[in-house]
Parts: sequence; C-alpha cells; structure tokens
Amino acid sequence: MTNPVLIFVFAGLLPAVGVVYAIYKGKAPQNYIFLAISLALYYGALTNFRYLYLFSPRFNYILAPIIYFYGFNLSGLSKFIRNRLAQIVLLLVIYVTVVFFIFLAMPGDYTTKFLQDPKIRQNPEVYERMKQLFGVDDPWYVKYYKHMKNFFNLELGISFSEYPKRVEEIIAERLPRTLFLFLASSVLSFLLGFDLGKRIAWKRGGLTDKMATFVGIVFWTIFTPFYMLILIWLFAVTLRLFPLSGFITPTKWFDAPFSAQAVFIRLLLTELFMLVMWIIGIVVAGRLKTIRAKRTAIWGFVIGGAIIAFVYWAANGMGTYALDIVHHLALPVIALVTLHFAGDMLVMRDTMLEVIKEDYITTARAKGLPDKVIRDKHAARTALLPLMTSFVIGLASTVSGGVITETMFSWKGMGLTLLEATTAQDTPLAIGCLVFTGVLVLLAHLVADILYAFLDPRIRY
Amino acid sequence: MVQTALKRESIAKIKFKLFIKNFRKNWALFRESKMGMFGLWVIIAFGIFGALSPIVLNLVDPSIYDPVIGLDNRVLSSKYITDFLSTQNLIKGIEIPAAQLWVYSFMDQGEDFRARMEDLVRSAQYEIMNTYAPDSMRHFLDTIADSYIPAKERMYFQTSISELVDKGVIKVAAITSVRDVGNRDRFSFGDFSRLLENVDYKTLALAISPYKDTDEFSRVLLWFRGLNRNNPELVAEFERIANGSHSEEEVKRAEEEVLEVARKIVDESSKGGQVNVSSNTQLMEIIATESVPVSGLINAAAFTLISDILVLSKEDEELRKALENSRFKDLIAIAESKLSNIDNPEILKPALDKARTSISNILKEMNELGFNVKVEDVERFLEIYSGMELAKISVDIGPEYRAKLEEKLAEVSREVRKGYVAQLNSIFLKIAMARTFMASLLGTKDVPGSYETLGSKVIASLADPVVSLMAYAFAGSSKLQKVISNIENSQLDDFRRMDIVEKLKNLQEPVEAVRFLIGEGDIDDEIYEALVIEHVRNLVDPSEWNNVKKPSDIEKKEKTVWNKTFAEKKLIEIFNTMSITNKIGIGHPLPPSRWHWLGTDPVGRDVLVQLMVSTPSEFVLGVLAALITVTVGTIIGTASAYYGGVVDAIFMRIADLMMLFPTIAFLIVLSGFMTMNLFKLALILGLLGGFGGITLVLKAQALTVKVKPYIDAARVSGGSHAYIIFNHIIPNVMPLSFLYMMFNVTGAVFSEAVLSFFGLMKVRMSWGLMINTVWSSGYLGSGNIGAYWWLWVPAGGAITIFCSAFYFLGRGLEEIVNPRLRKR
Repeated sequence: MTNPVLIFVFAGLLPAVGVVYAIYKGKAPQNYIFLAISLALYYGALTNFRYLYLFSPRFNYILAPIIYFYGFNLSGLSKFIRNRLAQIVLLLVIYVTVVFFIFLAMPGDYTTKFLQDPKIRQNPEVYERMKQLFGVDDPWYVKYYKHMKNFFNLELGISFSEYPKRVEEIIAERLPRTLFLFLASSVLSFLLGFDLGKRIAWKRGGLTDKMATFVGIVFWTIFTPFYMLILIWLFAVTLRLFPLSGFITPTKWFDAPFSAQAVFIRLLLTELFMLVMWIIGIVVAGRLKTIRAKRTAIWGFVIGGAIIAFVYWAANGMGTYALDIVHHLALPVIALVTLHFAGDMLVMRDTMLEVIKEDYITTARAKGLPDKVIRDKHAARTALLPLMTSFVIGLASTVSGGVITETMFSWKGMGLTLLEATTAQDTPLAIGCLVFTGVLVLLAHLVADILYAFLDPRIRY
Repeated sequence: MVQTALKRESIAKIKFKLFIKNFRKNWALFRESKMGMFGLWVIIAFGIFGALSPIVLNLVDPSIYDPVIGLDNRVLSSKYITDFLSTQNLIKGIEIPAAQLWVYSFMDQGEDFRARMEDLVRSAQYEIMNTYAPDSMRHFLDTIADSYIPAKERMYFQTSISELVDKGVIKVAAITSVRDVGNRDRFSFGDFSRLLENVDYKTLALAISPYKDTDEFSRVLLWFRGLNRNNPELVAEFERIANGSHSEEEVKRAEEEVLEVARKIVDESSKGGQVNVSSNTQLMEIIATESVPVSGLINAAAFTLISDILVLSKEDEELRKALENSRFKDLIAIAESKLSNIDNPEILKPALDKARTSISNILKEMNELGFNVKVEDVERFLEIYSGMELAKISVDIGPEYRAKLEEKLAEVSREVRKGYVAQLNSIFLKIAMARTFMASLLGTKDVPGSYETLGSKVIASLADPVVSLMAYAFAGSSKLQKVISNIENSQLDDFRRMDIVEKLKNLQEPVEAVRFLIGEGDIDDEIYEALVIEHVRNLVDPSEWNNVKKPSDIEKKEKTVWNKTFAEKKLIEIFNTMSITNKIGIGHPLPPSRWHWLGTDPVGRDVLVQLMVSTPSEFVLGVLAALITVTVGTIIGTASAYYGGVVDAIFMRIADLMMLFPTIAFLIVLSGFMTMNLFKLALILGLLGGFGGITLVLKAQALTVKVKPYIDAARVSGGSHAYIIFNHIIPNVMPLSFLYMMFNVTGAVFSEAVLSFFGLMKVRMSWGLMINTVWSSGYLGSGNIGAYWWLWVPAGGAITIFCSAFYFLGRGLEEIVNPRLRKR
C-alpha cells in the first residue's frame, strides 16, 4: 500500500462516505455502536494493529462491511441478505472451529504419519524437531489460534502427498472442477425435476406418471457407485460414446500452448455466463405479459448466450481442447443430473398433487383459464417453494456426494483430492479440502437462500 | 397396595389392548399400500437370506467358502482346463505331473546328477522352442527343486542340527583326522600356533606326512613357515620330514598325539560349531568321518517333533514324563525355549491344533509303512520317526554310505533302523515306480542312465502322458480346439509350445505311461530288485530287509478300459491335484457355476457367501443408526417444541449447522484418521442425523400436539413436564419418528457402503467392501466391466434393493401417518 491514491481512496474516502451515509440513515444509539465497531475493525486491519483484529486482518475485511450494515435500519430483501450474510460468516467460524476440534480429538497428529518411516523412527531427535516445527506439544488454544489465523490468512500449509505444492494452490486448482460439476448438475437436474414433476402430477394416474415415478424411485434409491458403473458400462464400454474416466486425453494436449486449467477456467466462466443469461431471461420474462412472449424472451437469451459463447470459443483457438474436456465431462454430468433430478421430480410431483386440491386452482379453472396457465402460473409457482426447500436442504449432501462421482470417473476435483489426502494421511490437505467443501456448501446456501427470498415474498417481509 | 397393583395392571392392559387395536387398524391400512408391502416382503427376504448365513457357513468347507480367507483352488470340470487356465498354467499342468515322476526316478543319483539334469532342461529349452524363451522350461527346474526329496529334507535337517550344535547338545568332533589341522574352517591360525606350543614340530611333520598333495597339507606348511620366519633351518627340517616317507606305526603314534592335543585346543576355543549337511557330499563326509555322532543325527531328526509333543503334553502330563525318561530328554529345554508362551490360551489353542494335525499325519505315514505306534510310547515313536527322516535325507548319498549309516543306526537302537529301512524301502518303491514310468515313456529300461544320451527327448516326452489323455478325452469336441488355441494364441512367446499343440493334434490314444499318473501303474520288479540289491550288498546284516514290502505285496489294480468320460474324469483329477498343491493356479475371478452360484472374486472367494454374510451386519448397522437418530431426534424435537425459548433456539441452530455439514466428506475424513467399525459408524451417523434435519420435522409435529387440549388437561391435573413429554407428546409423534427411522436406515446403509467402498471401514466383510476389492484389483477401471459383471452387480444390486426396500416401507408407512396421502 504505497500508492497514495489507493491510500486516499481506501483509508479516507471510502470510510468517510460510509460514515456520512450511516450517520444520515442511522437512528437508534446501537446503530452508532455498530458503526464504531465496524470502523475500528476496518482501520485495525488497514494499519495492521494486531489488537484490533480477530485471527487475521483479512477476516476483518469480511467482518467490517457486514457489521457496517447493522449501522442503520434496512428493510425487506436487503435486511434479509445482511442477516443471512452475518449468519453465514458466523457459521463459517463455527465450521472451521468444529473441523479443528475434530482433528484435535482424533488419535494421532500431523507427525504420526511420519512414524511409519523407518528413517525417522531410528532418529528420535529428527522426530522431536518435527514435532516442534508442527507445534504438536502446544496447548490446544495456541493450536486453535494458529489454525484460525492460518485459515483466514489462507495459509493452509504444504501438502504431504503432493509435496512441495501448497494446499491453497491445490485447492485453487481443484475447486473450479468441483464447482463446474456441481453447478451444471444441480441447475440442470433442478430444471428437469421441476418440469417433469409438474407435468406428471398434472396427468396423474396415467402410465407416464407411474413410469416416471418408478424411474424416479429407482434413481433415488440406487447405490450411486453402482449406478455410475452401469453408466460407464453402457456409455463408455458398450456404446463407446464417452471416455472411461479422467479429466483430459493427454495425447491430445502434447503440443497445447496453454494449460488445461486455463481452458477449464474459461469453460467455468462460460457456464456462469450462460447461467447469468438465463437468469436475465427469466427477469425480463417476468415483465412480459403473454406466455408466448415470456418463452421467447427466455429462449432468446439462452440461445443468444450460446451463440456468443460459441463465437468466443471458435475465435480463441482453444475450442478443440475445450471439446476434449467437455467430452470427459459429459458422463459425470449425465450421472449427476439423472441421479438428482429424480428426487426433485418426486418432491415436485408430491407438492403439485397437494396444490392441485387447493381452492384457488378450482377458482382458476372456473374462470376458464387455459390449462397450461393454471399449471404453470398458479400451481407450479406455489409448488416451487417446497422444491426449493428440499433443494437447499440437499445442498450439503450434493456437494459432499461429489466424492463418489469424482472417484468413479477419476475426475480430480475436491472430493477425489479429499479422499486421496485421507488415504495418504495427508492432514493439511485433508483439512483444507474439508474446510473448503464446507465453504462451498455455505456459499451455495447463501445463493440459494437469496434466490429463495426472491421467490417467496413471505421471507422478505 | 392390592388396589394400586390392580389398577396398574388394568391400565397396562388397556394400553396393550389399545396398542393391538391400533396395530390392527394400521396394518389394515398398510396392507393397502402396494409399495409398503413390497418393501416389507423384500426386507423379510433379506432377513431370511441373512439368517441363513450361519447355517450355510456351517455346512460348507471353510477353507473354500469362507467369505474372508476362503480360496477355491479346485479344478472341478473340464471347463476349468479349457477356459480358466492361463497358457502358462495349462503347460505346467500338462508337464509337471510327469516331471515329478521324472525327478523321482533319479532321486538316488546324487546332486551331481541332479545338476546335470538341470543342464539338460536348459539345453532342451533351445531344442524344443527353437528360440530364446527363458521361462518356457522354468517349471521343470522348479519341479526338480521341489520334488527332489533328499535335498529338500536336508534343508529342514540342517536347521535343526545347527540349532542343536549351537546349544551344545550335539558335540561335533571338528578334528577327525590330522588333515583337519590344516582346514581353516575348523582350525584357525591361532589354534595352530597353540598346537605347536604343545606338540613337537617333528611329531606334527610326521603326522601330516600321509596327506601330501592336499590343500590342508600345503596350508600347514604355509602356516609353519609363517610362524618360523626367523628360523629357516627349522622350516627346512619340517618340510623334509613332512615330505619324506615313514613307517606306518611311527606315523600312527604321531597322529594320535597330534589329534589329542588338537581336539583339546578346539574344545577350549569352542570352534568347529559348524555342521553342514545341505548337500549329499557333506552328509557323506559326516557319515564317513563320524564327526557328528549317530545319536546326534537321530536327535536332530527327532528335534522338530519335540515341540509338538511338548504342546500336546499340556493336555496329557504323561507325555512329558515319558519324554523326560527317554533318550531325547536333552532336547526338551531347547524345544521349550523356542516355544512361545503356550500358557496363554489364545496361543495354546491354535498351537494344539497344529501339533495334533502334524502328529496325526506322521502317525498315518507310519501306519502305511506298517508300524503300529502310539504317541504315548514317546521314545519308540520318536525313534521310528527319526529313522524315517534320516532315510529321507540319505537317499542320494550312495549305497555304501547308506549301508554304513544303517548299521550305525542299528548300534544305537533297533527301532531307528526299522524306521530307516521301512522309509528307505518306500522311497525305493517310489523310485522304482518312477523308473518304470520313465522306461515306459522312453521305451528303454536303462533309466536314469540313458537320460543324458537321450538329451532333450526326455524333456519333450514328459508332455506325452497328459497330452495324450487330454487329446483322447477332448477328441472331437470344441474343448480340444479351445486348448489348442489357448496355446497358439498365448500372449507370451515363452509359452507358445507348438510341440504340445502338435502332439494334441496327433496323439489319439492315451499312452501306457498315463496309468502311473492315475494310480493304475505296476512297478517293474526288476528295477526295484536292482535298487534293493545295490543297497543290501553293502550291509553286514541284511536281515532287516527280508520282510520289507515288495511290489508284489502291493495289490495290483484292475486296469480300466479307456473311455472318454473316464479319461476326462482322470484328467480333471490330475489338474485338480496340481492346483490343490499350488503347482498351477486357476484364473480367478470365475464366472457363476454349479459350485459358485455367483462366481468368485479376484481373490478366489465365493461372492454369494460374501453377500450372505454381509447381510446381518447391514441390518444391525441400519437399524442401530436409525434407532439412535430417532431417539435423539424425537427427544430433542419434542423438548424444543414443548419448552420453546432458549432450548428451542439452541437446538434449532445446531440442527441448521448439522444440515450444512457435508456428511460424506466428513465421514471420509473421520474414518481415514481413526479406525472405524460398524458400531462407531452407527453412533456417529445416529448423532449426526439425530441433531440434524429430523428434529425440525419432529418439532413441527410436536408443536401441533402441544396445543391440543389434553396437554393442558394433563398439566392442570399435575403432570410434570417430563411426564407430559413422554406420555402424551412422544406417543403422538411416534408414528412420524417411525417413518423417518425407515428413511434413516436407507441413509445409514448407504453411508456404510460408500465408506467401505472407499476402503475406509474396518469390517470383515460388507457389500461395499466387496465392490472395493474388485475396484482396487482393477477390474472396474478398464473396458471389461461387462465381462466381469458378477463382481459388482450382486453387491451393488443388494445395496440398491436393500435401501429401496426400506424406502418403500417408509412410503407405505407415510400413507398411514399422513392421511391426506391416502385419498388419491
């Protein structure tokens, strides 16, 4: 921080604007207390004044804005988001703490693994030195403080099994891969489950309903590795449509001028871009009147996004390489989508069946509204909420269930890394993966909660 | 008192009746749900399946069908030969049976002959294969190492004799002649200088003079020169006497003097503790020079059995007393020091089993040789046994030395000699049988003398018997074609044995030599007689050989007329023997067959038994985890609904946190860093679930119960909080809890399966572990998943069906609990 302009903006202008705004908006005395705390935390982190920050200055940069927004009364959605953010940060601290205490309570420590090495067993002084370096004999609160400080400084140590890579480097490489799978599969399966559930509930009792319910239950209860083996057998072995496993085909990448990771990050961004386009489409459609116009708007945005993405990939020369990754991605995504859509579909069907019995549906019918309008606008809109609830509840298991998918398809994401770190007794990497899986779940929860608040007005007010 | 008791009883009765009534009503409702009934039936089926496992385990042979340590290496049908053997094992199975007899046929020829036979095999490889195929004949070399009995037995004998020499039970006369003074292994330079201090150099020169032209002689001269470097005249004198010739009497006296002193020196420096018996020449030397007393040899031969008898004496004190009174009493202390702590019952039991089997095997062997012995008669038992052992190690030391050994044994004890003679005779019979076999195969009676002249023909002909049997048995069917293509398409050039293929195509009838492989061969009397006469010729008193078993005493077997089924049966038997004795290995995993309904896994264990044995533990785990979940969840849910306020807030926040936990990731880490068994897992899953989402649902249900008027009524009539919770709220929440219990079973079983699939659980056997075994053996990672379907479909299917059965049951129960679902 040597640039005077930056110092001026971040140390003077930004807090000043914030303070003025807060004083202007704030009413009750506790508002000013929050403002003062927020300022103290912010400047404590900025000046690196160690008595004013918890664990690490970086954590203060997260805490200060959140506490700042308690400096005045908010209403509606923004209040909900603020409260939710505060809760999530609190949960993050609790989660990291819990992870620490679980590892503290487990037998053995960082150095136990090295006792298997006969060289170290023969040299007790080396082992003692190692124990000293890892701080094994420290009291628990010192260890806890170090753990939290290092976590919020994003210093997770050096992996044992992938030495000399740093844990945060490994996670930065692997997290996008898990995120991609998770986003693609959860969004697709949610949409598929929503749409199919709505349709089969509307035509309940028919053959389609029974078939779909049966298929849904089969997918819902099947043992995941078993199902994936069947998929591998069917698509990769018998039909030879997709590769058996892995992330890329190495032979195709021999003379690639860029790393697979670079291509993959761009793919992830493309996916996010498509998602954003779709959401914009929905928002725009919300302002239109007729069903036809709405549909055109959504599809227009999605197809438009697809065309832009296609042009981008055709232009940047990475297209063929990206296709190789997509080819490897297809089978895991198919597996996850088919597995997860089943649950969503069953929930959607059940709630739809409840909703259909409501009086307002009968009223809508009596008004003579078209069948599809009743289904989509009246029934499905209400039934969406329980589906959303079950989706949010299932988030944690979806993310951690990624371990199975990644193992079966040798997709080197967070889950497979966690498993490999565990089997190799690589404590730093295992802790890192576990914590970041939790962070991913927390962030997904936050996003889902905000979406939920958009959908359900009862939460906002 | 009486009144209250009556009242209590009546209340219990009313409750019971109510329960029955409710149960009937609910059962009637439940029966209408097809899903629920289906789930129930599947669960009952699994229950029966699991309950059968202890019965099945008792019925089948544990060494073959045990779910964890079992291994089926039997060859049970011709399909095993045609389909499940690698080319290497097929070739081995064809050649090793005959090769064993070939090795037996030169068992008495000594190790030089054996080495020449090994060279014969090596050169035969070039002639048969026409190319460099280093592994193609390796199994012949292995068979020689394995079936050349004397060398193998001498290795065991070596360990016991070395131990006894170490412990000082066997006194080795290191210096047997003056020549040994120059042997550096027995007599060091230091010893030599001390010898010269005690013996006049002229005497030594005299004593050493008969051993000119030996290494030892020149070493003595060298050492003498080294010691008397400053005294050349002395050296010259010494050399003159040593090189000169002297009268026999003079030399003998000198020898005796030197020997006496030298022995004393060796005893003092306790050198010469090494006895080597690992080759036949070393054994010959020991017998010739008597450096080890015969009683020492007997002790060493009997030593291996002493510890077994000591173990047995833990049950029968008499055995130990008898042993202490026998000639083998010196060995007890040494054998005891070798035994681990057998007072510990955990060690004693397997040790007893082992001792019993080994003793009973030996008794059986003795019985076959015509001895009627009991272990209780310890001395006689051990004497006969040591005689038998000595016979095994001394087959190939040549008739003269054998005779010398036999006579010396007779001096110690008649029983030892009896054992020796009987065993030697039985080996002679074996050799005679093998020679008859080889003679029939090669068409010459001069075996083993003609082996070297015939060269690689001997090796090539060894394939004939089994090949001809196979060609006859499989003739005209696709089986023969399969065997031929197996050899022709071998992935390894080393095993592409075209000579065998040629024979398979050309040979029509089983050759005569096959009779020996199927136990119908007749020993040629001439060959046997020659063996015995050669041995007896050197004996002073051959009376012991008068009543030994002769080939004519053995009942001649009726020869079966060849037919295809018989030939096939015998062929399978031959391969089966090879496989059971681990000479060849069947390629596991085997597909489903009559003997393994769901095939075997890569390690050779039965998949169906594994599936069966895992079932009960899945039930236990699922139900236990679900019970803990529901108990904890119900109590917390109702309590937070009833009390509200802080209790509610705390538990609901905990529930939120639990729902955020990435459970599987957590379980993986937990089980990776600590040993996880079923009960720990059930507890962890139960607590994770109990504090988690289930409380939210149960709390919502409890809230609807809490506002009912009868709760207020109970409170007004003085019911405590606990009373109300346990007697009014929980019974009303119970149906819902029960419903969630069913869903939790699914979750628990799924988690266990995933964890053991990753190999993180410490369980003996489970469905997940079955897939893990296959996965880690690499059968699922490659393109042949479909070909090995029986490895993963049964276990994966069982998990799926088991989980879905509980899910269906839950759905059925849901219709009872939630009346709104019923109306559809």
